[in-house]
Amino acid sequence: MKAVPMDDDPALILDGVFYRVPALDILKGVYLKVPAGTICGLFGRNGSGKTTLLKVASGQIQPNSGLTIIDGDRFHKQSKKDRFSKIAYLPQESMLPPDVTVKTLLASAGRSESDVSDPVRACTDQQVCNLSGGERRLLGVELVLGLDRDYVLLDEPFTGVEPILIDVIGQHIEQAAARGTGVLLTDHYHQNVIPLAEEAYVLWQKQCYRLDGHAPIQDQLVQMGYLHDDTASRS
Amino acid sequence: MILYLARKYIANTLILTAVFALLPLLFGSSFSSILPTALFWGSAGAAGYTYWRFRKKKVWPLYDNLRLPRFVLLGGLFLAVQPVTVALAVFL
Repeated sequence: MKAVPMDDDPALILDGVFYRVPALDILKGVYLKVPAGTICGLFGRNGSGKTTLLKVASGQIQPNSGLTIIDGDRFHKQSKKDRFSKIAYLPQESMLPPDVTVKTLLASAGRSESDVSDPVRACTDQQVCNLSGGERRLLGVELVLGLDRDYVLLDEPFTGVEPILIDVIGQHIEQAAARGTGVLLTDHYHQNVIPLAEEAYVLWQKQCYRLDGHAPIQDQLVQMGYLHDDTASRS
Repeated sequence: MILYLARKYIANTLILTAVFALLPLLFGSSFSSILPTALFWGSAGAAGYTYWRFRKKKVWPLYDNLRLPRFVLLGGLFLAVQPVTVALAVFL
């Protein structure tokens, strides 16, 4: 791994994260840094530990060792209330209760109907269980980004979402980063992540490798073997 | 979302209280003597069951995002039921 320059810029840092379940190491000394106001893409194959890493960062699971450092504050215990004053987290699976109306959810997150995009506004009177998978995902993303936290962790925000809504989600992510929010974004649809990401990491062999900022992310992903040449040229 | 949790908790408390009251009733205990005990254990069991249900449905991350601490909320709901338990024990 490359040496990381020391600086005091605000950032979300995962440092030396080890996570193992019986008979299987999932993360072995992962280091990752998301500077404030930056969109950081996290790539990795199925089962490489992307979701686990985001769960560690959000305090959903306790790592065997390692630290989450947010703007210089260390979060080594599951102090969720403190942690979530700085971060917001969109899990891979929907966190929205099915028998609640969209309006109730928006109100609980302190958002009004005028704050959300048209597709969400169109279904505020519906219950979550009546929304399509894509609408549910968009609602989750809008709720999380609307919480106005310093860092946002997005685990597969584009899954099951139609192209127009993907553009809407992408715009929301870019707007959040422009406001100074650091975004850690992981999704298998690399073609949606690469245009947004200013920095990128690849989880490979249970460790995190930072991609060089000088070459295009897509070329480096091909070089690392994460993408095939023809996959990259199709996207 | 606190009201949503409270609604679920109270529904679970009522169901579990009915379950805990039913068995002693079948064995001939009087309703007034077992109701406070059943409500106490029903409310305690409901706290655990509601936690488990929300965990199974993967809803807790939403509460984390909204900075609503799950154990404080469930503990608060359990304590909120206890004056009713005490009142039943005293007046029945």
